Amino acid sequence: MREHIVSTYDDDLNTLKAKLLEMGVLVERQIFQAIEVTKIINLAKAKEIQKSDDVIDSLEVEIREFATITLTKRQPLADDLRKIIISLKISSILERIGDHAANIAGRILHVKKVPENYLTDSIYQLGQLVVKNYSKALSSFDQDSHKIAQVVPTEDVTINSVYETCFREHLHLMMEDREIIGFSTQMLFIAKELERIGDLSKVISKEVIYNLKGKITR
Amino acid sequence: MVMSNSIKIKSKKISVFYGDKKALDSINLEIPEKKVTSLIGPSGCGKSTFLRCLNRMNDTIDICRIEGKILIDEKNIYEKGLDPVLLRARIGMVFQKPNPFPKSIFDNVAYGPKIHGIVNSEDELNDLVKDSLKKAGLYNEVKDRLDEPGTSLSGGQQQRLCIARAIAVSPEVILMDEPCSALDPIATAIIEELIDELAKNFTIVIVTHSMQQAARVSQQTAFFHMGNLIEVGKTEEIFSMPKQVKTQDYITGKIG
Repeated sequence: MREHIVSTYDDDLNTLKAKLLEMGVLVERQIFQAIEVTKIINLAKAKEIQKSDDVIDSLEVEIREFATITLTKRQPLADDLRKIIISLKISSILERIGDHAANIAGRILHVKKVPENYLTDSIYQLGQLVVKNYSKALSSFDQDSHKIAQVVPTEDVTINSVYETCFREHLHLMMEDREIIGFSTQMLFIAKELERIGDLSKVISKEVIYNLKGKITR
Repeated sequence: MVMSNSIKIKSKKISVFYGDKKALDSINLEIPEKKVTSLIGPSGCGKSTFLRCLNRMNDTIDICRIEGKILIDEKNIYEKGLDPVLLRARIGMVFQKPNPFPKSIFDNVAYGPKIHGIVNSEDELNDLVKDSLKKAGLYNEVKDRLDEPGTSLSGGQQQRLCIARAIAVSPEVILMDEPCSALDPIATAIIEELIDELAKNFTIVIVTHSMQQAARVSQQTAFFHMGNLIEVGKTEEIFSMPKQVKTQDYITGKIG
């Protein structure tokens, strides 16, 4: 990165990025843990995930305040301005992803345990794809990589089709066995939360592309 | 770079030398009519020199030599036999430091129309002074003290008086050389508001060191560096996604 004449300006932009990455990693852990508790139900863990969402929310506020001060102090232009704009946008997206992870944990608190006759791990598989693609989006931001950012929307197409399959599979299961309707419904809600995380990961990658290329792609 | 509207000024291969030193190197730049064009760049980059080529103010410097053409409405202003004084009536200029004449507010504005014989009667002159002060957004503040010295006004008011003086002779182009650098933020805001208004009737070229000001007031921005025109384009593009690394480094304050 070409350095600013005022070195504290670079410090500010680096701090902003570091705060965002800290938030991003925390959100990644939240998604990962939320997916784990869908497989091995752990109510204590689910409660912990819900509680950790507060930390993510407060990080968003912190980033917003820091970005606002940086805008005021530096009156940035061009790539500097884009860096700050995307920090504001991405922090808000991360906050929403955090909410989706907390929602997954909330669903788990409803179901208490996996019924014996529920014999699929398709939600877990969907979750694996989602967390992997989220990590890619975060890496593209970390490394300012257009190449990585471009892969994320493509992967999201796969996620959407796996989600559709998951949905149909659960409908089928519920029709076959009324006993698992309650559990499967919660699982479908979880699948929807995961699908949304997939969409939001795609939005992050597009913000990264905007930062690098200066063009908004949708 | 061509904008959709017509071009008022064309600079064709303009080079300026101060003795042996080349201050501007073959500048080609088109300035659209009734728009604001900002010239930006570090000190000594040649932007003010370029501005002064547009009304032949560099002619007054003995060691200064100019090559190339400046076409205003397709007519070369460096053509032999063209009277620079008449040219300057068509092209007004506002300087960094407000420089009212040591005369009354009224006379400051009336001076130009009088020497250029623009008005035929006292009434006409009165109307023109009033109208010019109005256009410069100063009339309401000074209407009861037109006979007081121009220098008695505040800095921002003096600058607007200079703008009124410039527009009194009905120029086609107004050149502004850092018109707000000596003003406080409120006076600056008033001048910027005025620039927006003036652009409806005049072609404006402004040299500014404030990137934010250039972004706010102009539709076209040209970036100069070491006597060269590095990049010119729509202001919003120059400040959001400049094509040249030198431009990007300058506007973002990076070490180039």
